[in-house]
Amino acid sequence: MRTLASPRCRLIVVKATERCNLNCSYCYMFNGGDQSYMRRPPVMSEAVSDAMFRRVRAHCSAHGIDSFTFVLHGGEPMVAPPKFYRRFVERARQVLEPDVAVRFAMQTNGTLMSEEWCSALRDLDIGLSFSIDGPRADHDRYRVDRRGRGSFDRVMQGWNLAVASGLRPGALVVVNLQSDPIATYDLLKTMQPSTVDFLLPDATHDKPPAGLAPGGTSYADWLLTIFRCWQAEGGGGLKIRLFLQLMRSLVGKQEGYDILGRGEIEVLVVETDGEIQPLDGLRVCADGIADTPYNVLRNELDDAYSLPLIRQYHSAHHSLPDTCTQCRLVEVCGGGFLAHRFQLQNGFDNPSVYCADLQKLILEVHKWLAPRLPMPAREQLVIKDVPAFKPPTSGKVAEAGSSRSAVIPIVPAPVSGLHA
Amino acid sequence: MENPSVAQVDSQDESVNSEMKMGLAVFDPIIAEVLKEESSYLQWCNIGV
Repeated sequence: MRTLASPRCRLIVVKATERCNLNCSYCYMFNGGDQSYMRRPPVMSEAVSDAMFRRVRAHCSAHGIDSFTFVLHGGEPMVAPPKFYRRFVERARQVLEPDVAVRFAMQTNGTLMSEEWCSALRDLDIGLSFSIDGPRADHDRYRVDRRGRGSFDRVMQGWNLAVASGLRPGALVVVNLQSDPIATYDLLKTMQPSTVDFLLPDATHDKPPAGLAPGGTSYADWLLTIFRCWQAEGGGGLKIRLFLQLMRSLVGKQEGYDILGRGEIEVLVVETDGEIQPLDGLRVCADGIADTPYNVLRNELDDAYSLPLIRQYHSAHHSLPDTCTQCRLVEVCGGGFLAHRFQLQNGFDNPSVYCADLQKLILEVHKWLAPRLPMPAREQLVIKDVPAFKPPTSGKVAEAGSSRSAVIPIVPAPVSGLHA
Repeated sequence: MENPSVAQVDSQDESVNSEMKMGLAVFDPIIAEVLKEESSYLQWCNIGV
């Protein structure tokens, strides 16, 4: 049986490009605290991608992994031309198949979509997800180009092109309290993406989320407005990942999802220069925090797991502060997203800056779910007899509960030397 | 608000645990998704599989 002591990777977020044609104000990569993109090549070289495939093959062989996923990311991945990905996919398959089944996905802003891209994505069987933050006014508030112009119309043009060509993209939405959740939900219903996910904005205790009072639940309230519509419509034809994974966690399914739950997170990032990193979303914490000395040109993937931050990201839902391990919701929440726990003063040894939001979301969803489960599943609920949510009285939050989970020790997370 | 929409679970759908099917044959499509044996998602990135 595998343990958290022997971490493995089954998905790499490939920084195929380090450049973007948009300039979204909230972007962790270009407008967060980290400027490391400036010293890396704009596009991943063939030498780097080939080395990465060889490292993945060795890693899969060592860990008995028979399927592996590459998520093509950036920057904006479509800044590189389709021919880049035709070679990338062909080489990956040459190196890994038939021993390892390889899957590809791309996260895009959608503004560069074209007939040529649609053909390439279909030919190469690359799954697709668009970033879209709601109706035009809401989307264009943050997702602008370098001249400050909104990108909504170009995104929708790209979306329609993709759908017309037979692709069925997913949609990724960053929650924006200034937007109308119902209007966002209605837009998604008309688009009918294959899946929807909502992301809480990048934030730490040093950089708290916009519009969130200490101990407040504005983000949970926004999401629950959508949840109530969604459940009332029997899902509205939408698979909303955040809600579904939350409910799967409630019935004890441990799956890799870095937002919540108790699963292992078997994900690494490879930069355009080959550097192996934990998830780049951690860059919001501090400049250079995700940098490592390891590179696919010189190192195996396992080497990177010697770094405390990479191990901590892998076991983020088990390496938790005491306040979380003592909380009765820990089996569902898992402490939330690692970056949301960060504070310069003490690293990741804090509950999430969204702790109160997570608590309210979990309790409200539990309240809806529990009576609707068939009896065998109801008995599997990891939280029973949950009280109604009560707003915390202080800022840094964690609910003191009666149960204490068996967890591995917290990986030390000093302010500096995180990857020493 | 009560959910007005219920769906017949496909008895041929092997991704729904048979134990669950025995418990209740008719329920919400959201519940069916929750009880699927395998996750419908990649570990990272919002793309259904």
